Amino acid sequence: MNKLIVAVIFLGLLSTQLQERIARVDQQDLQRWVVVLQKGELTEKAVVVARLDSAAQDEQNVELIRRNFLPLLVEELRSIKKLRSHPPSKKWLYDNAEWLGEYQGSILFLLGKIADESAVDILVEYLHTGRGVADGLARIGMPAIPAILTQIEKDYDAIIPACIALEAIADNELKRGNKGNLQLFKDSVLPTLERLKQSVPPDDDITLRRLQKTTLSIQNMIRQAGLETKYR
Amino acid sequence: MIIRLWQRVVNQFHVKHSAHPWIRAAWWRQTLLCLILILCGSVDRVEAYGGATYLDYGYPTLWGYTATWKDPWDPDYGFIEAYDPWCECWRLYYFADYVSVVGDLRTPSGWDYYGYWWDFWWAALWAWVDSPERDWWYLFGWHYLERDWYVYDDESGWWYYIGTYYYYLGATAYSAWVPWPEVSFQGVKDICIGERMTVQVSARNVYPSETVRLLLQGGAIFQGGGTEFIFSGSEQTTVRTVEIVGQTASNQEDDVILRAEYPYGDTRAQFTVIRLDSLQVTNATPQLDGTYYLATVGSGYVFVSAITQPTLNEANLVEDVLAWSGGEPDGRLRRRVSRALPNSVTTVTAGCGSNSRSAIIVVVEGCGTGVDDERTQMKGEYLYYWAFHGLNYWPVCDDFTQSAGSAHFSFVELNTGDYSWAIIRDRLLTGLENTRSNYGYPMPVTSGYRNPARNQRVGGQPNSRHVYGDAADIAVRDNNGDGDLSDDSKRLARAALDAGATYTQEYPERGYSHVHMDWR
Repeated sequence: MNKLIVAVIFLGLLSTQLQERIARVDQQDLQRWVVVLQKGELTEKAVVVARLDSAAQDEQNVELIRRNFLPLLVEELRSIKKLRSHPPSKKWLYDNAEWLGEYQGSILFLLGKIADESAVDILVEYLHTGRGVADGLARIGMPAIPAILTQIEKDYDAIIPACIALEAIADNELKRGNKGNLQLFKDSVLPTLERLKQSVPPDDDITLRRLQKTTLSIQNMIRQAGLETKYR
Repeated sequence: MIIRLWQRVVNQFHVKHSAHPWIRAAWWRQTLLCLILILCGSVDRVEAYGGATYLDYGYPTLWGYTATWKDPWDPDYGFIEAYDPWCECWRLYYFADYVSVVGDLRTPSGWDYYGYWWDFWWAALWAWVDSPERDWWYLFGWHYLERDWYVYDDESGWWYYIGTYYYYLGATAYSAWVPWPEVSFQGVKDICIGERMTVQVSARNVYPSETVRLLLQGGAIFQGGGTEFIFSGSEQTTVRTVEIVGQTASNQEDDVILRAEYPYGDTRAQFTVIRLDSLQVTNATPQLDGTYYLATVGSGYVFVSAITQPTLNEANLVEDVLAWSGGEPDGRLRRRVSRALPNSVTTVTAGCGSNSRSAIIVVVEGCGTGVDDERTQMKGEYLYYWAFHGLNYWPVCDDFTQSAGSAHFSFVELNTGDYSWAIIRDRLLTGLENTRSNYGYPMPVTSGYRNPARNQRVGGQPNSRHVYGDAADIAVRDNNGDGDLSDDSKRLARAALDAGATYTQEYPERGYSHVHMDWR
């Protein structure tokens, strides 16, 4: 019996050691990646972003990546933006525009996975790029709504992804039975969408259609939640 | 023993020529007289010892001694009065005691060195040799107590020597092993012309003042034919570093013998100075079942020297590849490597000195018909880019298609890679169809699927979604005829966004030439 107890304690210690070692190795990787993102070449950074994207597929790593890399990734987006506005030369930008675009896309996709409320502002800035960012905002949920609404007032191209995000947020709130939040949709989101519908240029049937679809969808959800809506 | 007896005879002869008339009598008479004197018991207190013989090989010489002694408090001489039966009178006798030693040093080659020494109370023979022969040396010692007798002649008033009596105390022996010198080489290998090789020369048991000469024979490598070093001071065992430059007199390939000449020895090592005129190592293509080929073209030898960077799996190719050393003088080398594990990437360096090349060996699990199947090649390409270019994706055989397409986007249109196979995701097809439906115009694909090599050639990011098979670049056309592509580009991007594109990118920097869209 004593031997059994000793064996159990030993194995327990061993597993703790092992976990610590694994964690330490990961930590080393993370530190290396941090250094690359801070000081590395663009090509090296792109590889690190891909590695992070891969690591972020494991839910357990998301918090770790968020804590260590969120500011760096945001900074990286800013530097890409700066590079595009002030490139070394026009020729350079012409040659590397596609590369930069894809690099930016990979960062945004990663941010969509890991971002929290603190990154809402940067996410909405890139909302026009697509569903990757929209999904990220949808994951953040209600706290993202004011920024989304502000953004679509400023950035016409962000309307469609914003619609996707808003629909997803509303759907989540409905599923959670959170009537209070759906009331907010009724009070502030729907009026904004209605107003935007009025301002859509006549030749942009795509945006108009999406706004109509989203409006109807959100109205339905509000109705399902038992809240009346005047927008019919 | 013969010498010892001879010495005794000589001693007696000397006695016979003494001045005293009756001392010139027969030698046995003196012997008898000595015995009588000893039997008188006047000197029985004397104690002598023999036995200290030592021989050793110690730094830096072979040295030793053999010694005998007597007690220092015993008298070295004395007087006795004894009755002389021949003259029937009493005479005064004088005696002196000595110890003596006879030494015999025998060498490995059979020489004997003898020595004799005596003194009142201690006698020793020393031997030393600076550069002794290697083998067993022996030192023998014979130890004696000597007593010389003199008689007083009343008529002349002189003392006359009458003889010496030897007490044999015993014999001792000692031996020492002198080790044989040894020279060995480390680091001798085949080298290329122009290459440098560092050889460690280890020499043991070489005496100071002895010389080790290094010679190279066969190629004029050491200009002047060789080098040498002399052991001196504290050196007896040493390691020297010698650098050999691979050059031959005619700049042709040559076998060279490295020789070390030293006392009692001659150690040799052979190496080849390799000549290589040209070498091409083709990049090994991904193969199935752990088989790959390394092709060389040109005359000369192939010298495969290094294996590095196993990645997903340990390639475990070292022994196989090293066995190629000294390959074939002309033509192609083809080797099947049976122990390469699937999904491994290995760098093989082949060549000769500075004239070396590297090849990447990628071994993957094959698809379909195996080695001949293009998908096997493509998997190898993905693995290569995974290992060396940061690609984060690695497809399986089922990811590849030769037919995927939709109503408005054919396989041929979407496959902008180098192969007849491509990765085209269903979500891409759905997304493109929906985009087209939103857009309302034809959507020419400028870039769809790209294999990693193609992607690199066109300047794509290593992890471009085109490599994953879920991205397309759609050309922007001036569909409304206003001469401005920006509005068309925006419409196309909105169409893609409405179709759920994960990421869209317009390119004002390139004159709105196309829009990137992907569904990841």
